[in-house]
Amino acid sequence: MKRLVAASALGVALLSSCHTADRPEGVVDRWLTSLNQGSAGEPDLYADEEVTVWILGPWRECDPGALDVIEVGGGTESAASARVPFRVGLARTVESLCGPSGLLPGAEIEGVAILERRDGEWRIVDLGPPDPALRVPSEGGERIGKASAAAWAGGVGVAVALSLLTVALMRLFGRHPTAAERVGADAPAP
Amino acid sequence: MEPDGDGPAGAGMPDDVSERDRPYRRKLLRLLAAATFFEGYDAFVLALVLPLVLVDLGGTESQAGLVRGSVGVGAVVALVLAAQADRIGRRRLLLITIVGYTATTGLTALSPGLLFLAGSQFLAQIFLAAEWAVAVTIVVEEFPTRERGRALGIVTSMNTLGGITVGILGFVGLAATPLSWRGFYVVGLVPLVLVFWARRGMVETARYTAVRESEAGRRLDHMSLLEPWKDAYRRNIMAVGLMHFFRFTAISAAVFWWPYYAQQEAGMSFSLVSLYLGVAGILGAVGFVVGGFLMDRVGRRPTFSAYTALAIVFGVAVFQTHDTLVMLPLLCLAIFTGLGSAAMTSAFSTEFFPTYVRSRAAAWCRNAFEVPGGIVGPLVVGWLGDHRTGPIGSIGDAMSLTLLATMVPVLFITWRYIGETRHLVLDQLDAEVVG
Repeated sequence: MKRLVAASALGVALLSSCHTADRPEGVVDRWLTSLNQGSAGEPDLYADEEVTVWILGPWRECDPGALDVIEVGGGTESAASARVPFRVGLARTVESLCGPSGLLPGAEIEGVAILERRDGEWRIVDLGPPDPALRVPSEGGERIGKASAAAWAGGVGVAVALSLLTVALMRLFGRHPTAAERVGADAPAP
Repeated sequence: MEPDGDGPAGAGMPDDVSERDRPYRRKLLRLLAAATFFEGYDAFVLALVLPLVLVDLGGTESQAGLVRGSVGVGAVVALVLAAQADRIGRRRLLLITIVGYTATTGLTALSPGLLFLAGSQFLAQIFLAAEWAVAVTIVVEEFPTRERGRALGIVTSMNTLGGITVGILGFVGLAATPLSWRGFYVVGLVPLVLVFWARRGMVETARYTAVRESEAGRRLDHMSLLEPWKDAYRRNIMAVGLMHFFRFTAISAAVFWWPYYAQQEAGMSFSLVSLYLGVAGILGAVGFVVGGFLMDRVGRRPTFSAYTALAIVFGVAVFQTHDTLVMLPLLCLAIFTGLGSAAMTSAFSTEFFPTYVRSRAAAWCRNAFEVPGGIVGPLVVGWLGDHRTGPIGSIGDAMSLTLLATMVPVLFITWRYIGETRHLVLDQLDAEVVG
């Protein structure tokens, strides 16, 4: 019983530490991923049309997979605006995927997405040139997010909690010797 | 359906199992391997072609969730169908699942709309997931004790090779043919040819036949879905089920999220990710076969414990590295140990249980524990690691934490609650129950 109470307390503590965020980098990431879905994508949820066409031109004409590389790095953020570095690489088959749109197969586009907070939501309003101070992770820049030391300790805590939960369930359900044990399946740990 | 053709005529008593002729077992292994191959094939096809399906049939990314969800629910519902192998026989259910899968795959290829496709994939998953449970049961029942591990290793490895084949077909341009995404489902019609051999050359397993024909065996409950939860099996089904759940929570999340991590957090191109998956998948599939060999030589528990411990190490390393050169060997080792341990879990889910209830036990472990784990894992990692709203904001770190949190309990369960079945003679288990 004490173990169950301890496990429950640990669970509550972990859940309360799981606050959600609203990262502008995530908006850029979803915008590019959505753009890569061709006409099924909904990049207009995250950016205006005139911004989106800078990447893939007439993107609604493209089949999925026109972007071979999508990478977004950690940016800078103030209360109402944010700057986020990104890098995309066009697929070598982009001409067959998007038709004759002037897109160069294998070309890379790097830049900084400029976001503003509108009605409480981040929205990409413009694109800027690459900024040496803002790089993507593969070029030595910051990652979008990372687990804190507390989160790693929490992971170990969850492992312990799940093991205790197993002990409790086995005590509840598994008291009787099994048929396999009766005929010689080697017993587990005593 | 009476056995006919070139099967081992006269087989019927459990004691005959080890005497069954090798050529028959080789043919049987090929049939079962082909069946599980398409289970892996189908699991990867949808992920690959869904963007093309949305463009062709009309639909948004959010509606894609409907299709994915229907597939997951179908695999859980398969518990009811898979359990029927204890009632109608392994051979008959295997034939039903192959025909059912082929028919519903054909319907998927002909889908006029997204809802139709979701429905046909829901049905296809019911047949596929049931096929896995019955295939593993047949292996355990038809191979002698000293060869069971190796046979399980070969059959379960086909699942991974099926997935790789999807990537190869995509790489060679099947999607660019006039059939587009439908071509992948046309390939899924191939298993129909297996039915012709299975109908003529495959016989019911000797153990099942013996139990069904004995007076005492007829008195056992071959119908109830809850039979594996009886006192004599409950401890095993709970321990093996929980182990399946925790293991697959981590494994399925890793399989689902690695391509995303590699592309969007490690900066790899889609084409490089595809290449790595193909190479690592082929090398990793060896893990199943090696695992099967070790199961027979040193035992199920030590092999599984070693595989699981190494899977934690290599799995976390894969999701922490950003170096594309280091990524490939780590990915190979993670697949070798992480996916390769399926050979052992399939032994745990069958060998603890007597013949009259074995298929239902396998179905519980697979469809009621493992499949839900496969749904929960990717959701948890997606929620934790979501770049916009996730508490962690990194898929790599979220995945590493999930591996730690769920695979350590797998090790604990194995040490504390799972027995060794390497030398277990299934005849004695049947005799114990019947007696």
